[in-house]
Amino acid sequence: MLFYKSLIKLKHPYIITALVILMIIFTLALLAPVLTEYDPENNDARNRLKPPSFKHFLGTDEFGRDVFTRLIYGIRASMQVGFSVVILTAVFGIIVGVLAGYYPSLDNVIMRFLDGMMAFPGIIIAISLAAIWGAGKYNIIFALSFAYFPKMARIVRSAVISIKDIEYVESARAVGAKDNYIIFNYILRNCTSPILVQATFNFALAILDEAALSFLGIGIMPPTPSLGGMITDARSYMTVAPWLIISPGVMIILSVLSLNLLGDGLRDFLDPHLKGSIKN
Amino acid sequence: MRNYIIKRILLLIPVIIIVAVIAFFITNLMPGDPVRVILGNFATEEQVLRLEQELGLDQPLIIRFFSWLSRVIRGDFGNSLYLNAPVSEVLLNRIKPTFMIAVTAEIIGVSLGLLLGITAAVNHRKILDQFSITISLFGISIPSFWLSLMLIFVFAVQLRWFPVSGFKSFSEAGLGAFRYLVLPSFTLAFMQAGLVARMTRSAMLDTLKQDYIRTARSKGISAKNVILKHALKNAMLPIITVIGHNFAILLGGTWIIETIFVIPGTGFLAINAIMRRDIPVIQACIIFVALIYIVLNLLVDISYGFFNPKIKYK
Repeated sequence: MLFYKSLIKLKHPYIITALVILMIIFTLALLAPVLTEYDPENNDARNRLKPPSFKHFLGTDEFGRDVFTRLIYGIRASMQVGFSVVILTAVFGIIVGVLAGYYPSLDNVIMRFLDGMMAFPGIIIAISLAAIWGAGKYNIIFALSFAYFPKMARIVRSAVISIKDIEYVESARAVGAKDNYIIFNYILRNCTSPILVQATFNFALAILDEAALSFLGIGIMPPTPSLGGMITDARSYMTVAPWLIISPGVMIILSVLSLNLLGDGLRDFLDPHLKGSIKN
Repeated sequence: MRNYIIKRILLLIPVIIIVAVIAFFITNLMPGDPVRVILGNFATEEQVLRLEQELGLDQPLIIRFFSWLSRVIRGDFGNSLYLNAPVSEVLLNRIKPTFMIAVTAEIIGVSLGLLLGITAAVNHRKILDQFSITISLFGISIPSFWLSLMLIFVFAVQLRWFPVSGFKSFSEAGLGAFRYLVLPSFTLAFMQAGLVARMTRSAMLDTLKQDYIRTARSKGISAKNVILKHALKNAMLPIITVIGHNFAILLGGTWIIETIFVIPGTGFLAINAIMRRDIPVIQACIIFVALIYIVLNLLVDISYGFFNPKIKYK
């Protein structure tokens, strides 16, 4: 709670703005079924390609579906993917990172493996894995987690290495604390800041990459709404119905931008040594 | 120095092996039987078995891996299942467009990023700083595929300054080839600029606080010289590290951008190969990207000595 209090006290305009935008987007995503009277997948042939109006706040698409409805269901899916990827990368990253950082005998093997994985751009690993496992929400969650976890593992590893020889850990070991106890109570508790910051950036990256995969047709498959898929559909109607392509793009930018802002802010706030890109 | 480089290259061997393992196993776990896809629905069991034998697909996975690895080391990626040509030849024909776009994007991105980053750091907490931060944040937050569609809409469809898609080499179109490069390169460059600007800004802010900068200023060296010669050179280390790492992101981006602009490069080849399950081509494309990343980061490591002579290669 202290954390939240000091966050508010900080009155950091960027963090606050980012948090407010994120809250709005989260609410839209969470309450999507309540907020709209339309069905995201129901066609309505009489109302094809209608521009924005009072009835259809952001217009309708080529099947007469309400764009606002699809937009909030799309960001709902993005948020689900992003959140799951954050959790999975954190879990795998922490396990692998702690193993490498805490046990020197494993370090070399794990690090070479991570080096090999990091030679591939994340999106390429994700595209290939999504192609293997097939399209679908759960497959891209695993594909993206697999693509991102090496970086998280490296961050955890270096945090663990910098902490494990500090005196308080040594004294815990001297009084006979077991490895597990030391890892959970002394080391991981002190690595939360870099993990939290990286998790925030992973969230942003996952939303971007999910959209890219859905755009390529190997992410969330139509007719299920996804922001990337909406952009693919809107491509053919760019000249006649530009509102179709603007709104999903703006939604992606808003959520990714505020997550990146939040990550920057958290980094400056949690770790005064790491000079971030906003406040110095 | 030479010993360091040799040691650094030797350390790459396990990494390259892991890269090969990942490339092989990712692609061989893909669903869809390539033999059935090639022969079509009306193939007899006998034909299927014969082609499986020809392609070596009847062997256990681990044996296939080692025979594949020994061929790949000699530069033989096998034949494309669809293009009826050796994969290495197909890939080599496609490198030029990717190379041109990636290098143009890198040049634009890094120059723009350095400019934004230095401007931000020098005008710390002033309006120009805010402006640069905002631009670089947008750079890393805009989905490249959406940005490219927007650019196409405005500059190709409406204003007709640039072609909507396609690619021409300099030998075909002379200087007109640049018109084909502008939109795809700029899309890729925008993100690079954002990443480089963020790193440049924080590295420069760090260096500008150092004592030797104050000393340089108090000696009366011009502001321009202090910033470019004293500060930037010392801030270069983290910046070139970021540039080395991010070139991979750029190459990953070409997979999507080449697909949108219909540019006959390696990325377009890769995406098509994935859609068609053309496994040898996918393997070659993945390894190609990883190798470029590895070589580039080797060069980055070696260049550290140039930017910071304090680093002794032991």
